[in-house]
Amino acid sequence: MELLLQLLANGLVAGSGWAMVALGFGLIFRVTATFHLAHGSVYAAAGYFAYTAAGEWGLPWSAAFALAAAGATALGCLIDLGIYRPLRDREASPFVVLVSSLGAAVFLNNLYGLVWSQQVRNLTVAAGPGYALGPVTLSGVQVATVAAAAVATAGLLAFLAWSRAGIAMRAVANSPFMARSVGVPVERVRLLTFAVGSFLAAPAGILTTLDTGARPDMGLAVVLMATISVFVGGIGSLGGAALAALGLGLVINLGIWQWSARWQDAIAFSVLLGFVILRPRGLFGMRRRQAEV
Amino acid sequence: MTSRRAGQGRWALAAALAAVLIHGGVAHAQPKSYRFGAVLPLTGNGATAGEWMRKGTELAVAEINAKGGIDGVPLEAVFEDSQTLARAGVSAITKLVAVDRVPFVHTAYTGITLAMVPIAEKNKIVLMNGGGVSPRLGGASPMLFNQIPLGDFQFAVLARYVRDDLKLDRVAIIYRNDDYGDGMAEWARRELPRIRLNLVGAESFEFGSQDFRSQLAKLRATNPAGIFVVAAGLEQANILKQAAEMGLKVTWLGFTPFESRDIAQIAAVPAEGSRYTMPEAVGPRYDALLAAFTARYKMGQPDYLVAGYYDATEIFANALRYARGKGWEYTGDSIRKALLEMPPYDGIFGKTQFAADGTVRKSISIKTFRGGKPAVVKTFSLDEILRMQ
Repeated sequence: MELLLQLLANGLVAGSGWAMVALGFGLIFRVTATFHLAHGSVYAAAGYFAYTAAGEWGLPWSAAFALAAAGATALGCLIDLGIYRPLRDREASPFVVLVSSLGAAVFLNNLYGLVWSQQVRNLTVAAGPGYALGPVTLSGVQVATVAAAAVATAGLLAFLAWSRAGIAMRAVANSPFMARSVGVPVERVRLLTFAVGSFLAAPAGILTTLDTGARPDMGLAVVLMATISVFVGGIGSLGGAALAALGLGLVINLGIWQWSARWQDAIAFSVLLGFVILRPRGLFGMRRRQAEV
Repeated sequence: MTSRRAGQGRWALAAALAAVLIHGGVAHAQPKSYRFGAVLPLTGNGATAGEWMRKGTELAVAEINAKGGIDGVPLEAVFEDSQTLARAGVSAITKLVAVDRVPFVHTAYTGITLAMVPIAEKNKIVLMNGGGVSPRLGGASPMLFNQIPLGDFQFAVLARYVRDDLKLDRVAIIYRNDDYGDGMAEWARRELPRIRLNLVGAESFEFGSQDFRSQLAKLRATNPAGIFVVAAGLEQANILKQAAEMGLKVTWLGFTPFESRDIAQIAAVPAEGSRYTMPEAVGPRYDALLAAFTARYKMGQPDYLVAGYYDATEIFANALRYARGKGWEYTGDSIRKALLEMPPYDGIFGKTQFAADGTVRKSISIKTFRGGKPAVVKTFSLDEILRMQ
């Protein structure tokens, strides 16, 4: 029982990290229709910026993390301005956008390798005892990850529900044409969406760097899990994406309980395949006709 | 008389001409440099390790060349990136064969090395493993040499030490799911019961993993007194760190890769009291390496891989000198023959004398971390180890 609870807690932590990335990925996908694979590189950038600011420049952690979040947000905006907006202007096909996002991810990962080297960059806090919650033990970084994911999810849903910018994002997501016709500055909203989505990935990148270090390709696996979460949660349902990420973390860790950890990826993709075949609209996704309306 | 003198003169002229031709011929055949390859994981999951390997190789090349190279000819290392992938390693050695035409190549990582073996055998290229310890490397090819005692040799020493000196009865193993980890786990499952060590748990992880908490939770449930760690670099440091955060208190047991800077930086506290094996490395050569490394790279304690690839390069230079002394050409076959025939090389990790299967046996030290720094607890001489087995 103790083992099961610990594995569930580990799954919750892993899922929380993926949830933050999935929220940003899902938001960008829903509002701008961009399959933003380079989102993983934005997540990695936050880790590297935090490493540089705190580890190399010696800034206090709070300042370093704020700088890292600002840097990641700026990078997300730059990717939109430099790559996706010109493609949208030329009415490029979704396939071209997808390939471009893949190219941006590969370019950025290589750039990180050149700037920070291929070695893992540690901002890792030295080993110490964790927090015991009954039979479960979690480290400080793990507790912070769960808390950050909860704040990010609640904050994003509130932002979309009640702020003018959030409502504008929903309008653009539903119909850019209609939004533009009622005076919504669509391109500015899209840029804001990249800013918000990138900002959401920053805490996950920073916390991962604190936990296990940063490396150039750290975003690939995470963006993969985020993608699965968005599809399983249901396109358009950001709360669903966050819940799906948590569920994915739990399922994978329960899988480890019974089988070897080498089957982690197989379990994750089995979940995706199961949903694609049995429930293509995901857990909370709207039916196509409803979504169009 | 005149004709005898004339005859002698003709002989002298012919001899002189022959000498000029031979000498000139040799001078003409003298290469600008002796090139050798190094297919190392400079990017990808093994990039940190690859950087240490590159530094060790470069340091040895610089020192050899500063002393005049090989009879005046400098050594030149051609580095290729395996990206820590077998297929990229195969591409790299193919390029070294076709373009650089090197007869000798440093390799790293078991899976990559084994993937390169067919090309090495076909083209008669010597592969020198400077740091990998998977048992699967032993006798894998007549062209493959391993200059560090392999994992089965080290495991046998550590397992008996765990049983006889530490008196631990329940042990577990956490290992990387690759040729290195699988080879060691295979050995553990087969051999530990034979020496009456109870293997109560075995968990694996994928190469490049950074979160080991679930595997550690499963191992904790088996209540082991000691856990063998078959991993490298940051993987090990994260395993120890995450175990400490989970409150898992065991004696950590490892092998040569355990002596990494990552453990000293991140997991120094949980590593206190650990035990791991390392070929005995004492004396002035080790001190000289530390001083040279610090002077060149402005860094502190190097990883064991620096010493491993430094030794591997020195061994190559010695083999080259031996082959030249015998008048052999610069080919893989002659380097291989030299490696098997030449006198033992006295390196950082003691005397290296290759067996016919390309492996070495050396004295093994049992080490630990004290105050975040590696320290020798006990050393088993080669004779003692052979008696054990």
